[in-house]
Amino acid sequence: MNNSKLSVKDLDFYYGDFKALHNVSMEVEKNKVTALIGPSGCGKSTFLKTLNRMNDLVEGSKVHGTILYDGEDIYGKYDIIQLRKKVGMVFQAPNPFAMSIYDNIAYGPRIHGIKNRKVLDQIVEKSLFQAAIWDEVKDRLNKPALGLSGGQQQRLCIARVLAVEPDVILMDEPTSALDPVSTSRIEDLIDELKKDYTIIIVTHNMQQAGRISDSTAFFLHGYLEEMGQTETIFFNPSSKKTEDYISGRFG
Amino acid sequence: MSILLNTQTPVTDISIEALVNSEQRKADTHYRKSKRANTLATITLWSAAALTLAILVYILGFIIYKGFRSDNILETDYINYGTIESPLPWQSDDTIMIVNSDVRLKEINGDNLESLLKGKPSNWGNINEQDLDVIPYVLDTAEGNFGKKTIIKNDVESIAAAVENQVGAFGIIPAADADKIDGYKLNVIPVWSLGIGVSPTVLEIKDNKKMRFIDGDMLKDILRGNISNWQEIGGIDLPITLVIPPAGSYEYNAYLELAGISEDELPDTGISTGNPAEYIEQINKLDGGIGIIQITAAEANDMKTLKYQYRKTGRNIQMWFLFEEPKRAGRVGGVSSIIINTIYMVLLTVLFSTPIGIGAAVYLTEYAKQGRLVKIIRLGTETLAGIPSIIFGLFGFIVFVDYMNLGIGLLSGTLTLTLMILPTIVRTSEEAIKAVPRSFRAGSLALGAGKWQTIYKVVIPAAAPGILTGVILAVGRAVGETAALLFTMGFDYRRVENLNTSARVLSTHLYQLVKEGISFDRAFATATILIVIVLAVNVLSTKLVVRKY
Ligand SMILES: Nc1ncnc2c1ncn2[C@@H]1O[C@H](COP(=O)(O)OP(=O)(O)OP(=O)(O)O)[C@@H](O)[C@H]1O
Ligand SMILES: [Mg+2]
Repeated sequence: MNNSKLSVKDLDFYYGDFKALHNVSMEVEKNKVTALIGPSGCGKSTFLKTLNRMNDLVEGSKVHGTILYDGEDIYGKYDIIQLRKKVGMVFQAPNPFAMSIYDNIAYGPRIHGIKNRKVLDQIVEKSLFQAAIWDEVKDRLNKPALGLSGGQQQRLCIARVLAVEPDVILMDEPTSALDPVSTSRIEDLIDELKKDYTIIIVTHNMQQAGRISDSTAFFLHGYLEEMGQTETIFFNPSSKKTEDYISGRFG
Repeated sequence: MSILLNTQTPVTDISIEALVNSEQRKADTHYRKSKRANTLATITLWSAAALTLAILVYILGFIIYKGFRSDNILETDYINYGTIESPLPWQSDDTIMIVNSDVRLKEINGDNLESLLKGKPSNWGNINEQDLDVIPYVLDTAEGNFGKKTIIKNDVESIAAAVENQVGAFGIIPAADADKIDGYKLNVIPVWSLGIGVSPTVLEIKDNKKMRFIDGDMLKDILRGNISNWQEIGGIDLPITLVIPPAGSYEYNAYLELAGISEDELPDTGISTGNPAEYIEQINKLDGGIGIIQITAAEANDMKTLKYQYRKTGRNIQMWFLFEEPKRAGRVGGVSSIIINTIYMVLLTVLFSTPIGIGAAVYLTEYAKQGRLVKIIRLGTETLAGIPSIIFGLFGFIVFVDYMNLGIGLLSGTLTLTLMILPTIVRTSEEAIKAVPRSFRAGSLALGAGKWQTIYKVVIPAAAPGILTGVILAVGRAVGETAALLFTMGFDYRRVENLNTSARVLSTHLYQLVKEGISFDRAFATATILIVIVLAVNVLSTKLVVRKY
């Protein structure tokens, strides 16, 4: 499968003694949007965070199995900084730093060694533009980012991820803290971004999953219950549990 | 009510009603009680707050008031009465004193003027707390004993010119030549020369009573003839014998002015005499005698004088106090070098303590395993923060001054202060760092930043306001610290030249001023500067903190 960006095989994940993921295997296709759905506590966030190794920060966590990114094992020799640069992450609650809008976007590139002001200017403009927020902030780049609205902050955080030129973008319920208008702007943005990026998004919103994703993975109790084309999962699931969940019978 | 009814199990109508009534009553009492408790709490809390505020305002207000206004009761041999043209006993004609306009002098008494002319204090310090050399000028016709440094001129104009141009210069000229100094920029100073002569009988001790001093009001009453017995103003039971100076004399005119009366209103009880020698003799001889007299004349005739008590008010702290160097144990001059020393001390202390404090806080919050060791360290810092500063001073003396051989000086002092305020900085910085949202760290790490990069570029800047608050708090403590510096920093009030020189700062200066009884006015002025510095630092820092994000 050459089209596969991330390939997960037999992944087990433990928080201490608690096994949060059981034997998960998944192929994530390039330039597609993959939605992760499932009831609360089923391990969606945990799975997402294994992909950029943010789970490493949790003390006592353990990973078994392999995750290949472009064919390379990210839990092997792969440099963690390179990984996080390539596999960016947008969090549930917008989390801009207490800096200016400009510095927020320039933060990533600076960390990765870009100092030239002109280059940074370009990156900042391009990222904000891509994240569809340029017009709203271009006159106030030096104002504090925390002064933006929630929806603007979330797009800023997406721009901040784009600024380090990632390949894959992980999003953990990026619109759950936002109003419908901001949500639909972000959905449009995701649609736009998938031309250039591979996107994995956790969502509790079935409609959202249906609207924006190409394939959908349904998690249950730490297992990957079913995965496939979004249409198939929604209209013709093979698992009874998936059908129950989709039709709102539990969760 | 209906809800209440519904919840009841069905019983007879009467018992339901009774139940409802009793419930209602209970609810009413409960409501009244809670309302009363509420009012009581509000009043109590309000009183506590008001009391705190009142105490604060009172303390600050008192110190600052005393800092800006001096208000002292003084006792001297001289009455606070002076004229521009005044008789000097060793001069046959009336004299005028002129002073260079840089000399801060409002009036002078005869003794001081005489000794200045003799060159005895060669510095103005003793007279007006100003560190300036005295340069006396007199005419060649002037009579009296002058010091070697006294410069003699032939004409009034050259004295006036010299006094105008030479800082610290003063001169005496005959009153007849007053018009000759018109147009020169100099000050004319009234000279006090009068005192209160009394008969020795007045000063006798009887029934445990003795006349000690007279104030302006008492003097006025006596001179107006309103008081007839010394008993009335705290003396012994002895009739007052008021002697009126020879008409037309200097003393006579002063009498009228001090009593606030005209010639016709002179009291009948007063004994008048036309002869100066007789005047002095009568004051001396008559039981209970009193009269206004030249202090020098009293001395020459072995006459007793009563102390004169008066209230001297004026501005306390003034610009010169900030900009002049202290001299003679701080009795003279201002506090300029002491302010500079204080600034050095604060800067050095901040320089030492901030990096260490923030570093320790970062380690404790971000790196150290949150186990028992960290708990012990925390307990330790908290304990240290509560230790009396004098103990830090002792420690600093033993370790820095003695063992490390740094000597008493700026470095030992600031190191001691650093130790003292470090716990505060660590604690507040820790709190500030902990308050930075976890999501900031996650966001940074997810972008590929390292741990240190995240801390340095995201966490610390976000915690900066809190950290700064802690540092300011600590600086406030350091500025006012005295005990920790007593054995470590020394008391040299000159500007420090290097890290090892002993240095006096505002707080230790204040301590010395009070301990050595040098001057309460100066102590309050110094305290005011200290308070203003602390306030300024606070305001400045809040401005800084609110700056951007
Ligand atoms: N840091 C942690 N330490 C221990 N257990 C954790 C930790 N984080 C998550 N878990 C547990 O792992 C399981 C999966 O959690 P996870 O956050 O992945 O669920 P989720 O599917 O994202 O749920 P939600 O939809 O509510 O966000 C849960 O039972 C949770 O309690
Ligand atoms: Mg989650």
